[in-house]
This record gives sequence, structure tokens and C-alpha cells, in this order.
Amino acid sequence: MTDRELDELLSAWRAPDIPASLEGRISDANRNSWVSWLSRGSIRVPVPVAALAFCLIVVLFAFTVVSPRQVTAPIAQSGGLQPVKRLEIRVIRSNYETVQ
Amino acid sequence: MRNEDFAAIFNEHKTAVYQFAWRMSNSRTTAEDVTQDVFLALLRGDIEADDARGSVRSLLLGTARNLIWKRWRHERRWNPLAEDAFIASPLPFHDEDREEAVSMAMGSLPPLQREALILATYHELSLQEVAEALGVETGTVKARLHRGRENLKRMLSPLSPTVGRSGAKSGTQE
Repeated sequence: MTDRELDELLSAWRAPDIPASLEGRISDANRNSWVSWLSRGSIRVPVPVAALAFCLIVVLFAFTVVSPRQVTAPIAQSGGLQPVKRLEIRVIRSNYETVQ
Repeated sequence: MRNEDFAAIFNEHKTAVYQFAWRMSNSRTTAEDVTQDVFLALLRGDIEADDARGSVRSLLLGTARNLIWKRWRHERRWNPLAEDAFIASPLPFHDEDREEAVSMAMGSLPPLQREALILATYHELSLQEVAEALGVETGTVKARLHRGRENLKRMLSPLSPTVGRSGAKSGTQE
């Protein structure tokens, strides 16, 4: 038997097409994959992006947790003195005003 | 892997994977299970389709091949060392048509020769792609293809007069 005869014979062997039910099962698995991705998936992050994100987190942490405290001066209280709640200005006119 | 990318790969390679699994196992059930497992592995990220690492088709077919061998390790044993010593005899055909005869002959081949022949003959993979799929050197693939074809010629030799007649007929018609 020659190679050509063998090739001709081999071409006679046909395989069935993939069943539609199997196609549907695999396509459904693809559509639902985001659900399983949430529990088992992973994300690839480039190193520069990861480094930048880390620096941002550190800066935010520094601003929110280690912020300077506002210092308020203690109110001096002695002898019953109270801080002024409302300032009212009294205007006293002089008796010696001349009217022109 | 994005859904659109998976759908594109699935649509392009689904038939090839299924038909390879069917030809290797001669079982529709096994072919369905293997095909499903291959594409679910791709979906889960267990295997990665990366053009830089080799053709996607050879990756998928190689994965199908490994899954089939896993099944065979439980079902039957074949000594790889005995493959080199295997020499086929003509098969006793009784009114089988050519398709059945080829199926019988392929099924009688040692698995390592069968898988190389199937990949090279029916999936149009290059020698390099077949080697990638099987995880061996191209020289090993060449040797298996040569031995496989010689064994097939011996097994199918009873059909040779029929092939010769059909070849002559087509020649005269042209």
C-alpha cells in the first residue's frame, strides 16, 4: 500500500460533530463564571500599579489617623468670672455738646 | 479570562477537541466528558491560552490528550516500552466498509502512535505543534508517525485492491 492509498483510506474515517447539549452546558458555564470568579478568581496587578496603590494607602492613613490635634487654651476661672457671652456697647453722650 | 475571549476560543476549537477525544477513545461519552473538562479548565484558569507559549489548538488538544490518558491509567494499562516492538498484522475484515475498517485499525494501534497520527492527519497540526501537544521532541513525533503509518498499512493491506480500483477510476474519469 502506498502513502497516497493510506491517506485516501484515512480520509474516509469521519468523526461526529459536537452535540448541541454539550455546547449548551459549556456556554452556560461561561455565563455563570462571574459567580465562581467572586469566590475563586484572582486579579493580576502590575507591580507599578500595586506600588502606587500602596503609597496612596499609606498617605491616606497618615492624613486620617496621625492628624495634628487642635490645642485649646484653658479657660481661666477664678473669683466667679465668666466668659463674656454677649457684648453690648453703651454709648454715653456728654452734657456739654453744643448744637449749631 | 473574559467571556468574549472564551466564547471565541470555544467556537473555534470545540469541534477539533471533541473529534480528537472521540477518535482517541472511540466513545461519545468519553469525548463529551473530556471536551467539557478541557474547556472548564480553560474557564477556571487551570490552563492559559497564550499565543506566546504556543498555538491554542495544540494546548487544548494536549490537555484533552492528558485527560484521556488519566482515564486509561484506571481502565487499562499499556506499556510504552512495548510500543516500539509492536508490529501489526493484517486485520481480518468481513464486509466492513472503509470507515469501519479504518476505525478498527486505528483502535488497534498503540496509543502513542495513534495520538500522533490523529493529530497530524485529522487536525492539520505541524510537526512542532504535535510535539507541543504531546510534550515530546519533534524527532519522537516523526518516529511515532512513521511506525504508526507502517502498522496501518499492514493492518489495512486487505483493502488495498479496493483502494487501487477507486484511485484508477477517478483517474480515468478525469
